[in-house]
Amino acid sequence: MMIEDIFSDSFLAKAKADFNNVKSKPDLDKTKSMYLGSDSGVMKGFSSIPKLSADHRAEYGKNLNSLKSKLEVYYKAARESLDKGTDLPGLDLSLPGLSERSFAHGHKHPTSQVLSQTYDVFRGLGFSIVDSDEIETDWYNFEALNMPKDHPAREMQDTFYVNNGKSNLVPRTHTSGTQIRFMENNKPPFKIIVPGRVFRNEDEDATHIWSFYQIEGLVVGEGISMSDLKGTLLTVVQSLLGPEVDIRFRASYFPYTEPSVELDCKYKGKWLELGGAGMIHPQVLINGGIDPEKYTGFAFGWGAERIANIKYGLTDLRELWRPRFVFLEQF
Amino acid sequence: MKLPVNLVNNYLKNKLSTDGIVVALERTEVEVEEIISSIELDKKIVTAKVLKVLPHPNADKLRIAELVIGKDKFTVVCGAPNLKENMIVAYAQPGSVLPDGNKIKVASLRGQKSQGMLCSAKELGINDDHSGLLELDPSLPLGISLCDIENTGDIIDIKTPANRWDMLSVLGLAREIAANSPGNDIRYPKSEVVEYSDSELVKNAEIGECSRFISVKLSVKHNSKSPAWLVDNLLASGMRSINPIVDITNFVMIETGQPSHAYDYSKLEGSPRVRFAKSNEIITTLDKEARNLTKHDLVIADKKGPVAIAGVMGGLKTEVDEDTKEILIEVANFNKTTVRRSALRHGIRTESSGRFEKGLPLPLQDFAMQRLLYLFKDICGASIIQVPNDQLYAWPWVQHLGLRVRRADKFIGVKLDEKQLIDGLRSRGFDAEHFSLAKESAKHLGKPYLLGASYKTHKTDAFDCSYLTEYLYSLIGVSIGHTAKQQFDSGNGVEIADIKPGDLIFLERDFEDQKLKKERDGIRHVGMYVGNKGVLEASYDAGKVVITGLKAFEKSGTVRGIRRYVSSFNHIISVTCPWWRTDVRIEQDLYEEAAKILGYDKLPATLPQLPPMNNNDNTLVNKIDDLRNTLVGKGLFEIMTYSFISKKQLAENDLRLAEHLSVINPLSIEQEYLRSNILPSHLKILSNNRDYWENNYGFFELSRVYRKDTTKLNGKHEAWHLAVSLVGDGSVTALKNVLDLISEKYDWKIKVINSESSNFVKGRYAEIYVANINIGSFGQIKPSKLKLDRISSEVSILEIEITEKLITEADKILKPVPLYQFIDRDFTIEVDTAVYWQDIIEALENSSAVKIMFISEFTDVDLAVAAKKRISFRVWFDCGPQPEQKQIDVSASLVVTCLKKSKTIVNFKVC
Repeated sequence: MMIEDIFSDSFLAKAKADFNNVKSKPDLDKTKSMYLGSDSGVMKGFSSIPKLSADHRAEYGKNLNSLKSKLEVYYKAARESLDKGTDLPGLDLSLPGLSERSFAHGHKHPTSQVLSQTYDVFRGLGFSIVDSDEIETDWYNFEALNMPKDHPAREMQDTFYVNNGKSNLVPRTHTSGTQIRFMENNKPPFKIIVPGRVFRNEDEDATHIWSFYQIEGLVVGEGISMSDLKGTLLTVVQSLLGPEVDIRFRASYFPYTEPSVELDCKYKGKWLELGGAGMIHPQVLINGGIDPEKYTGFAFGWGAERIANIKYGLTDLRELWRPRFVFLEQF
Repeated sequence: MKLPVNLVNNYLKNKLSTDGIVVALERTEVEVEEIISSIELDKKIVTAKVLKVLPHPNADKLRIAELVIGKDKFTVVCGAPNLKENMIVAYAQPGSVLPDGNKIKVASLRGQKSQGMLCSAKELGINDDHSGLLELDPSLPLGISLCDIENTGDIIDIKTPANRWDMLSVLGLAREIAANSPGNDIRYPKSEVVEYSDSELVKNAEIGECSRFISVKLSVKHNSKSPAWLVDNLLASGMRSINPIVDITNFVMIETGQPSHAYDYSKLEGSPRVRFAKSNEIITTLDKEARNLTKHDLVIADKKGPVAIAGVMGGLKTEVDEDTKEILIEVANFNKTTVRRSALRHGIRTESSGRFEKGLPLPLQDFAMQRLLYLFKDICGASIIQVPNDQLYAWPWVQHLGLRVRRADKFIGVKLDEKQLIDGLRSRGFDAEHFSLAKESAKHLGKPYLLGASYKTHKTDAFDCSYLTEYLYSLIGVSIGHTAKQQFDSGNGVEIADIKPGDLIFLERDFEDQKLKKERDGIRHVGMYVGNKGVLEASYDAGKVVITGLKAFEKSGTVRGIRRYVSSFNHIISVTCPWWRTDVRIEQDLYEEAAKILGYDKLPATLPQLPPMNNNDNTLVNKIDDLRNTLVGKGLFEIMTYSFISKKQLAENDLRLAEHLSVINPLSIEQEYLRSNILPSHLKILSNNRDYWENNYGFFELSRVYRKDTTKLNGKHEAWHLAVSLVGDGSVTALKNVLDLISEKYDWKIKVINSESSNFVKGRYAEIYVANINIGSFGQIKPSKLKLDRISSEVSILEIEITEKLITEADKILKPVPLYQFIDRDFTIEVDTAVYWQDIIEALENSSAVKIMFISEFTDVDLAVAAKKRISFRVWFDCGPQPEQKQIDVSASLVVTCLKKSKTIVNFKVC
């Protein structure tokens, strides 16, 4: 569009017609950018002002301003008429809802399917399923789990920090903080799992997502052993992935368990990393108000998306969090 | 960390293959990330000697090398700057193939015939050095294939755990590999025994920050080129060769885990000090960056200012170079947190700071210094100008622990073999033996009594009474306190009749000093019952450690009490940790060693013998999952969306910024705020799915949301939200249908009140109340909020806050099922358009209706002009098994009466 065109009547008439014909939000955005966006004739006109000779500037600017305000009026009118739509009549929303839709098959989210299956298995083993806050304090997320400030292990989990106006909170980097919260309020013996969202400040790719569901397990009682940990995990993994699946422990390190292990499973002939586990560190038991001489316990955790990935052969974990219905239709 | 296989094999008694090393490492906490395989070189790449170097007639940068192998001579055109006569080079003959796939041919380079090529280390795939030709050992025979002599070996890329400083050293890894490969052992490298003097080379003004500082001043003869083995090992470990002095300090760091630093002594002005920086000081570090220091940065400084940031990086001013003749070597132990914070502050996480951050043990500095001195003498021909000085400000204590084997059995879940356990611990460098009170007592009998003796001052050469008992318990890792009074206070009381070996007997005796008597609570002496009516004591009267008869011991004062600290002395392994295992501090750490010695693959699989939890079907998670299934059953998609949204999304949906928790360090502007509603995320999902083929569909999400709330603990409110979005014609009534379904499931008596919101179409938005509490709202979204191409695509969204109470279904107890039919009557009434169905339901609450069903709503032009509408509905009455007409009429008229009484339904008429 040439700059001199914009002051013609036909330009204004076309603009009015274009705004009048707006039928949808993207339409509105497109028309707005055409007439009022940074590449529009009007905006280009403004940026050409400094190049004009001094005596032309004032009048040219004035004309341009008046044109711009006319266009803005058209834009606002178009926006309002869009919201009015076809003057939708008000409805009595207390009336029973009527659906003329045909019956459809619903689709439970794949992560949810894994979570529900996991709940079933653990319920069968007599576990309770515990809900907990997703935004934690530094104490529960780190310090009470033997990760004081400056502890190198904090770096294993890139952390977001959130401001509540007064102090900083942590969108939990793992569900392990609930270990302490639960121990504070319950006497052993107990066996629970804690499912929930966790957050890691790291870049995403097909195999890493910054927000995911973790399933934390916690069992405390007299005489709870590492073999109990292995048996529990074997039962759960086989229930979720099939009776032919084998598991193994590899030595590892987490500040809040001692000994600590990585859990791998052999699925379709390949060893895959599943999660972390270990016997609860005595100091963590003490932080939760439990006598480590009398009681022992184990804890474990893994990502629900990881299981979904294995089970359903997902190729890009991001699909789980930026849902496309063509993807979800398959589940 | 990069672990070169050849390097680690230097420290193993039996060399292992790459696979052997990987297998051993997999039994430890080390994670093997990648194996970088060495390259098999072509047989036609051979050693050759450069006989002559001639200039190239047509090129300045090229030269002509005349090579010799036996009697054969070859000419090769070469551009390498380090080409010189008599050097031994790697010669790729015509017909050979380089590791990168390049085929070597006879070629003509600027008119000169070249019979092949001379190679750099990089071209051979040995390392990354491409600065010149690979210089081979002059003693090598000529004409032999390089693949027979030059074996770079594989490199294993590993991840080490945060609690193991020693695994950031090749020696530390060699120890682990040796312990996990049968019959293998570690071979320590050569070192120079060091005698330390007291004369300080460096002043340590921050003893709390620097617990050990070993320094030595050396003169160096050779500092031009590091030997090939050193360069190769550095390169394989991911470091560059700089000069022999720097290379040695770097190599010893890789080898032992101890970073050290060499200063050019001639560039130091005055003797250096360890101190905190002043807030305006600047240092230019070796990477040529000028850095503004703060008073929290620990530095080594000379008279003019800082010459190194402690543990992080040296300064450029005192850098060693080829002309360096005298050096000052620093081997120190700096506070891990201080080093870490400095490294973070200046954005330089170095190999050095990464090692200090893990916390290094005190004996390591001496160990590293001995190795450094050996290498400096060996490689640089160094001699000592000033005898090494060791400033040690902390006690290098030794960790004793008791491993209760039967407890470990229970902990691990399998009966452990004690011999295997002891052998395994020993192979890992631990001192381990069965603890026997009798044997241990016998060791100390006859040693002199000395008041105030301690481990620091007298080791185990002399004892006083409480030091003896403290020491014996320390061997099994039990801390009972140092003084008799502390020991008396820390144990459990036992009667004399129940006394068992290991129990301590406390005596009261006279004190001359009354203040001391009060302080010690009159307790003057302690002995340990060792069985057979004998008490082991460090006796003042006897002047030595003796066993006294129990009766005689009791008579030597007044028995104040007997204390017990462990329930049994049976099956305890007394363990002394090696100095490098700083990670082993509690008994559970030994259980881990025990489990690893056993092997995790040998661990049985059992299930915990605990009763089931009693609230299995009663938790919020279960209830939410049930709701989820209900909605899926309704034909909806379940979706999950991120909890963090953008500022733009908040603004677009008129959500107040100030109520939202903000992320301090967001990944991007898309994720700056924690959402207080799911609605913005759903609108975004719709715009991402605008090409979805279906016209009518719906989806839901059950997630937690968050907002600021200063009245709550931690200043925030978290709640579960349910959001349901429907797309397509009639979406809002269909959505009400979903709400009705949920309400019915949970028996909510919902009240829906039409309202207004900037996000929703006027007259098509309502708030939802249950028991007078607003639980959320629903309505049809304004088209301007939608980024959909099709205007016809209506979208309606419901969002409610879910609490456990709200989604708890009432206990189901059967009420009697009626054995007869109810009577029904249809009504049609004409009302103002402002009257809602809900008003009718409320009005009929006190009628005798047992059920009310909406039939239809009707408006025509006339009614519309009068602002009226007609509503038809059916009402059921319970009139008993044999209803009488009169009774039915009464019930029906009660319906009309109730409607008349209603304050909201005015001007109505029955049609």
